[in-house]
Amino acid sequence: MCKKISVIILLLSCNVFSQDYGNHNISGNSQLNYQTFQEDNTINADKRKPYTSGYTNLLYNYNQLSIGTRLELYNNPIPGLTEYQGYGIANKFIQYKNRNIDVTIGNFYEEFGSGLILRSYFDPNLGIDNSINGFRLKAVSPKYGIYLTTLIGHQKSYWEYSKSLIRAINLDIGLNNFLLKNWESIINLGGSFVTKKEFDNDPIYILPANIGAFNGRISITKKNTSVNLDYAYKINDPSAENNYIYKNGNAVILTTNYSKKGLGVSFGAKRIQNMSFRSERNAILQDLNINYITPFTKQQAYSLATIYPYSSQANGEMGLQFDFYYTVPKKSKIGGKYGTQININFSNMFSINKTLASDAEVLNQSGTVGYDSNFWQLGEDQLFQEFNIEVSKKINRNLKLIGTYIDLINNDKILKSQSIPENKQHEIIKAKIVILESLIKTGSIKFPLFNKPARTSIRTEIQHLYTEQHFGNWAMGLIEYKISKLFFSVQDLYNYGYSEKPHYYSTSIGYNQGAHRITITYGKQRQGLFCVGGVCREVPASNGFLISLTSSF
Amino acid sequence: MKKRIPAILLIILLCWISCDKIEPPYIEAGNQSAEKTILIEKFTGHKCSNCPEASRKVDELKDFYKDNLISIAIHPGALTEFTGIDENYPYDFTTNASDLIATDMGASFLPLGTVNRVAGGISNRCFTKDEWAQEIDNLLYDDDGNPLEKNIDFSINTSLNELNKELTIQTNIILLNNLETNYNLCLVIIEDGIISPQDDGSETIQDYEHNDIYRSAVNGAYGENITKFAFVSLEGQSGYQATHTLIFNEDANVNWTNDWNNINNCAVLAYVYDTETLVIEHVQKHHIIHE
Repeated sequence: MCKKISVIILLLSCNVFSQDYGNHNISGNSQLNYQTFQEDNTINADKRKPYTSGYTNLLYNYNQLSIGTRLELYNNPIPGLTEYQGYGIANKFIQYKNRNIDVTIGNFYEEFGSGLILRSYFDPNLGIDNSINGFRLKAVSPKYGIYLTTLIGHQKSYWEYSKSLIRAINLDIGLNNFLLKNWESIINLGGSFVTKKEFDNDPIYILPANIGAFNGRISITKKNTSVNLDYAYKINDPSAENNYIYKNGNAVILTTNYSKKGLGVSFGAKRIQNMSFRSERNAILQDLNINYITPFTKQQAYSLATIYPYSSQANGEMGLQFDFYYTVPKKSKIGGKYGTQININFSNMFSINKTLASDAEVLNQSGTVGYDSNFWQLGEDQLFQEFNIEVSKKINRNLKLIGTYIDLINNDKILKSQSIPENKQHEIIKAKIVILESLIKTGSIKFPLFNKPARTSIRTEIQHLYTEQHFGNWAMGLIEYKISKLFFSVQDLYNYGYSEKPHYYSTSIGYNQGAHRITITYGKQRQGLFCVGGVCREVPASNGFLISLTSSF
Repeated sequence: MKKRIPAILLIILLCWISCDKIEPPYIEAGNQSAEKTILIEKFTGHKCSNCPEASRKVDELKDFYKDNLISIAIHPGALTEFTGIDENYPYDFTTNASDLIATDMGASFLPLGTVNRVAGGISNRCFTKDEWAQEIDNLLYDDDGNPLEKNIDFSINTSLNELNKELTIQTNIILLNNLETNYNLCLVIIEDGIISPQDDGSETIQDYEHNDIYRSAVNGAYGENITKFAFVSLEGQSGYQATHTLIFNEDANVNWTNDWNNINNCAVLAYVYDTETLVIEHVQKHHIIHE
């Protein structure tokens, strides 16, 4: 009964609009998903009870005071998210904010720099909510360009809170505000310190109860060019993720950017060593991460390009990324009448160099330093490599084409992130992907749902993935027809390179009205990794309906 | 602003001084004086690359807890991705009885392990390897660090008929304290020294030595109630006396063919557990052939 009431509240909240009463204001947003699962032996999909998930954020503002809460509901969650089962208030806070001071009591999200030693965030699609419940004070001096943040609290894990205590301080300084006022270059400095206190209950190991991590940052920008250096250091932090080794952690990320009209170039290099930092030593998978390792791979959106993603390796990785964006000018040979956009992206990632430490019998041995490492030397294994080239060209007023070619290497022998076919082993996967997307404007029509003639368009995708490994070749086709705010789509992913030759067809219909959106999908979803920003979660194969409602008010 | 800088530095300093840098040795001295004995059921697979790390953890725990810790390795047949056989991994480590136990205990991925089958952990009664030590300690000692009393003891005698490979096991279950009768005795044959390929990290070790392997359930996957056995006087105390037999042949385990000759590496594992809570009260290991 209570679950039904919660669903009704979530549904009603989709119809609540932002309310203003003088100095008072209520706003929020909501999402509700309902998914059914029927058995389908062709794709190894199990029959499950329908999965319902949803949340409503409510924010009440009165002058400089804000009070916020989030109601969440999960019923019959899929494997991996089962600890979310239930409903209730998942987030609540009270915040006072003026020009110089920002005080929050309750749950809050925070990120220092790029998150190398602290990032708490909410991503309902990944099932991540690692907010900190406690006290946060931010002090700002705009005149001097000084931004100070201090916080203390316990990190959230599903419906509970970690027993460990996080204390953190962050300082960002814009040097040009008071020291280098006449400099052409803009120089910003940042520094953070985070400690975690977790008692040593282990009978065998002598564990540090207080673990500290430091992060220093510098950003220099001059005209069209910027250089950013991010360095982090963490003291010994034996944990389940690093197999209880006592090595210190460190991380360096260097990024440079150059951009002007029609041209953008960026280059980045990074090295991560033993930088997993969690509220609890025995936390695994995506639980209780205090920090976040920025991915150095392109965020893919096309279906076949998302099959072999790379997730950041906090225990050790070393690599680079290069990104080039250029618009060939209009009225040139290649640019044509409307110009042509070219985007080239290359990234690769290796393991870090590891040699046997003096106190260990094998690499990464528990209860030892684990390994020695030459900072500048690459490890033995390439973990990932991806080359992308995307050309986007508007042919005429009604037709735009986007062509993409991707060449990737995913070392699943080391990463072991893919589910593997029967009687196969994890292996190095090499894949080539070709994608052609077209966007066609098809004029206006009269449609009963709309008063005015509705603009229509068709979007198509043709994709092909070639690989001799894993499940073999894939082909994919999609066609989407849009009538103003209404859309229909049909797609099929065909894994013709695998012996079972499964089809993953699906059809969708959706409607947008302002900040509200409803989508109904019926069809099959492949088993695999769902990733956002280098953070991944396994999703099971499924066949059934998915109804999704999102709304802001 | 200048006045505030010392305060900021003080806060940073307070953070710094709360860091604990541990210097070697990182491991506590193993001077245990526990009375009880604990069983780790380690769920593993020859295609599970993280599983040898769990085996090394078991070895480390055995070094620390000495005779107070016994382990058994179960390859769950339901997890074919890790335990299936093929030309590269030809040895079948699975058995019907151990498959049933693995499923019931919640071995939905590997490596995992139960600790005396106490409830909790990441999946039903299964804990990750890094949680085992804490659970063992909770079962061996009270909150003040004093050893918890043993309620049951065993004396196990075996005799082997070398002609037909029939093993007779006599188990004397000695009740040291007054207990309810809702306990089952379970007898299992385990085998050491099986050489067969095993994934380990990114490598496959061809001549990996598999130890403590669950081979055969002598009296069923979940054993028999102790009241089924004769109630006798044992060494001045009361208890139950059970006698069981097992023949080392392919009926007991598919790998025990006529050519099989590894009985020297086999042992009887006996444990008694509470049928309501499923928690193991006592476990003992007895080598069939004493060198």
